[in-house]
Amino acid sequence: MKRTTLENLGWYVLLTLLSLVVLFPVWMILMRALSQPISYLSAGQPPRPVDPEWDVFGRAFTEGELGRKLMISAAVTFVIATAQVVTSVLAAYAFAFLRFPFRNTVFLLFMATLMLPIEVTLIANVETIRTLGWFNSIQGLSAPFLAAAFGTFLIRQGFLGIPDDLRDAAELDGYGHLGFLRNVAIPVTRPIIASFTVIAFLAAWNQYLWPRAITTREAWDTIQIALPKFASENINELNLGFAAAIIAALPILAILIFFQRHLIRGLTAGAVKG
Amino acid sequence: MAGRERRTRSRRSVREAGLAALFLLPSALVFGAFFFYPIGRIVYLGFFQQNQTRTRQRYVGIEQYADVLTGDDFVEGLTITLKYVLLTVPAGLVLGVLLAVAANRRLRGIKIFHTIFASTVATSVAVASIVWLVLINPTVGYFEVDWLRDTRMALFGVSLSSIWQNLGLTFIVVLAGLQAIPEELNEAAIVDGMGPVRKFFTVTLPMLSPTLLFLVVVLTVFAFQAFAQIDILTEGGPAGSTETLVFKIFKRQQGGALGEGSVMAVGLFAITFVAALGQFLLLERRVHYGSGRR
Amino acid sequence: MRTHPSRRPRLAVALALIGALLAAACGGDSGDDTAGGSGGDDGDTAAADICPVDALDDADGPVEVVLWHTYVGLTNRTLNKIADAYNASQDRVEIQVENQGTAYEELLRKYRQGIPSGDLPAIGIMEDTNTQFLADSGTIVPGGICDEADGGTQYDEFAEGVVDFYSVDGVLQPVSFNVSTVLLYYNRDHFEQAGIDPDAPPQTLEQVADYARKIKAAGIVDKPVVLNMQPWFTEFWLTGAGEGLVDNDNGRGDGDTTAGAFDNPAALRLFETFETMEAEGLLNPVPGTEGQFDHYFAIGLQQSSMTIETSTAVTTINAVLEGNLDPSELGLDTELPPIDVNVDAGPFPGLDGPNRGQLGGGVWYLTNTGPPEVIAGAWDFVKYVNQAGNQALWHLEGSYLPVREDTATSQEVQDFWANTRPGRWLKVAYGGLQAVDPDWPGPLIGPYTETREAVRTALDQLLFSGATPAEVVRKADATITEALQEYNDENF
Repeated sequence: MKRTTLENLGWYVLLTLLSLVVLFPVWMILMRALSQPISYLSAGQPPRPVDPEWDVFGRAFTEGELGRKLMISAAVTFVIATAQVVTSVLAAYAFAFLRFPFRNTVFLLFMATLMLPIEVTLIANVETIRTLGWFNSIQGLSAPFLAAAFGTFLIRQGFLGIPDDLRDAAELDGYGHLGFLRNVAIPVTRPIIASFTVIAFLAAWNQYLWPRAITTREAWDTIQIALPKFASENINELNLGFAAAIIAALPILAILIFFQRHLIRGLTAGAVKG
Repeated sequence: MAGRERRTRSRRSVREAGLAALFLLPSALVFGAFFFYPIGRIVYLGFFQQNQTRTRQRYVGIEQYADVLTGDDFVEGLTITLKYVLLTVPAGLVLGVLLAVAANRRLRGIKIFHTIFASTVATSVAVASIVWLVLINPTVGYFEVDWLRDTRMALFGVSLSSIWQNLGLTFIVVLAGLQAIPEELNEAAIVDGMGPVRKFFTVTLPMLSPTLLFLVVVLTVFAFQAFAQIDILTEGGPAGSTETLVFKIFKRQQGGALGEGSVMAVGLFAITFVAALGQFLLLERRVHYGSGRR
Repeated sequence: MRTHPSRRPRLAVALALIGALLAAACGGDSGDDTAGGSGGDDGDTAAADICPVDALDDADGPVEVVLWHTYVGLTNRTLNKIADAYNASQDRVEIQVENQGTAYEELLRKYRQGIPSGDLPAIGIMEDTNTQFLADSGTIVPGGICDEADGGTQYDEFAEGVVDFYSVDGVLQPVSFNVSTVLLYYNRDHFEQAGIDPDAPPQTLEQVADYARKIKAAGIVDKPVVLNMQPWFTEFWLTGAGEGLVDNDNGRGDGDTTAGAFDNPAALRLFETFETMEAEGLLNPVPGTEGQFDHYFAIGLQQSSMTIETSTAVTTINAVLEGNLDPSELGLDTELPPIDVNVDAGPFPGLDGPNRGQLGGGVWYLTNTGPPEVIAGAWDFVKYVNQAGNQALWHLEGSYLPVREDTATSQEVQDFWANTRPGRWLKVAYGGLQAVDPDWPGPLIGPYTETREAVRTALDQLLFSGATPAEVVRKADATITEALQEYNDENF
């Protein structure tokens, strides 16, 4: 009994130490956001703010016009995540429940896109967006990401897991494919769909290369693009840049806290689920 | 009788195929326009050279492929990319396992530690890069090191940002893997009189191997795609020592040498294709094994 | 097992599908010329056809004129102030000021992105080094042509050296000029402590090294010189020493520019001086990347005694220094006394003497891709900017050097020079503008980005990788030759 208490205490100490290591960079940024740079450096970079300016977040928000950048990011993320869920559910349904010629081949072709990161196709895709006149627009920022092989795969797995008797029952109830999709398939796989939504959201929010390549006007910068720019624009007020970085991380932090279960299921889907 | 049944079945199957086509159309359009067409397009562009303003192009032929793919730039970019894989993947894996093993136990308040360890998934590459830009800056940084100013150390400096940022993901995935290990196996190990270290190597690690394999694949893909951290931390410097293949492609996309960039992209595609094929075969085996077990 | 007996035909279908898409991919050349007319080499065309200065009269409603720039801080505020005042002063043109990042290089990348589709601003304030490329690109309206179409008096008051510097084949290319030179910023206290007269800053780079030795020997700081290793400083040093980067008289001769000329005695001398300073521990080199801030902080934190930066940095340096002095920033219970860093500015320490450099900065280019009324609107704004009063504002608040002689001699500017710290510094910088040799004003290069990249790599290899001066200079020279050949080859 005593031994386990002592052992637990040991684990707590270790876990706390590890937490400090993981959180250390974040803490340092927070301190630097709150302190005027030269004062902070002259004070020897203590683990607390020096002459803290609590309004720095508000100031970064207005001076960096972060409201607009966050809106652009949010709009693009919303479009991408919604579209990916819809297109993936539809495609997954076709692969799971519908019989059609060359089903496996088409499935293989879909899955092949997993091997094609946007980095490979960048040059041609930028050209396509230019031809379409979609530089500096929501459609340009989101178009290549409106479908997702990963989502199709994940949701198809979920659909395949639906027991046959549920399908039979649905057929007896007179459901056609659309009814079955709406009333049975989607509700039953809701956890998987939710997990995929969170993952899609995360990936879309954090995009960097693509928006960097197809925005040429500041007004269309996403928060990720605006962030390093803003930091280097304010050399004599580095604290503003750090405050902006913290603001940019908040939406995802909120997701981590409120949708942790879905996020974890989504991230681990490929690893522990079959 | 039998004929009519066959006819209805065939009519139904036509309807089903039509519905399938309808359902697949949105995804197929996106994949066609932004995945398959561009592959063809870059292969094609690889045969051409653009003028200064990219308003005209002319055919230069297969020679461009030969020149670029055997040229110093491509080989250098590939080497740096592979180095980046070696710098980020093993370190990320080891640290993730360390955190997950430490946090995989029944303790009051363990959820708080889980959230903390997972927290770096909340940072984007851009945020993580800014964090590390400051941490390892010799003038204003916490660690007063010259890593980003040394051609031999710069890639390592950049990799710190990636390793830290990936920590959350590796932790979450490994922890889930650990929790999926059946309790009986752990108990059996204890009954057999195994110490914690031996148990880790004889029971935990083998059971974890599919998870770790998955992570190796994911982290390798991340490393191959690394761009933002390089763009923000070093811009490829000093003296090109952090110019990965993707960075080089981006530079050409921006600078106008589309033909040359396209050839590099085709090269990158060939490499990822082979890697992905290997990964697919490995995963296929694992999935099969997994479904058999359940 | 998931093997299919009929895998082969399916594979064939897949291949056919990919083949079809491939075929689609190979069609649709972007081969046609979408870049608009050629800018100015068409001798027969009347100037007003190229630069339709009167087109504003036919426009209905206000014309939107987009301006791209990379300014931040005070310069950004000044630009917006001038644009706002202009917008308020009339209702025919609406100037829309858009920041495109912090670096000229970034702006050029975006400009190049926009050329094929004509997605360009009406005005771009870009680095002056882009002049040759932009002239070659056929996307700009040369300032000289607009001037000709508009009475030919626009640039009468402008310093002749400036107009000459920005002319290609005798035609002025940009339309307005935000010119700067380079200054040596130094810590007076450190000089005094080392027994150096703080009123006599070093005159040459060799002297900078000498002073650094004294400061280091006196134990005042460890690395007395902090340098942002921007390649364009190297260009300044070479131009001031009568050398260049490329052949054909540094790109300004009558022939074709086809090879590098970087492997020259001045470049070797410069790089050897860097090497010596680094070896003796006098130099803290900072990689010359975009948005670099280390050298400002090294000066602000008094870790170093000297740095070299553009004259427009007077505002940034002032702000970094004054960050501590602003009482509103200080809490009541502040634990630190305000640090007054006693910084002053001296002339650019050339290889052979003070102010032996060249001009640099951003210049305004008008694009020809918009409709006539947009070009006319842009030109109208440029004329407003070029007025003596606004040029004075550029100098007083935006810290660019006066390019009009009547601006430099105005009472306002003279008072500014006499009475303020930034003014004192900018007066020194103006000395640099006056000292420019009109017969050797600096390079004119088409592939400037690539050339600069070669110089940057040379500096990186010298200071961050330990290569020798001779080796890196030779390599850079070869790279420049390659870039020029490729550029000329891509001129179709």
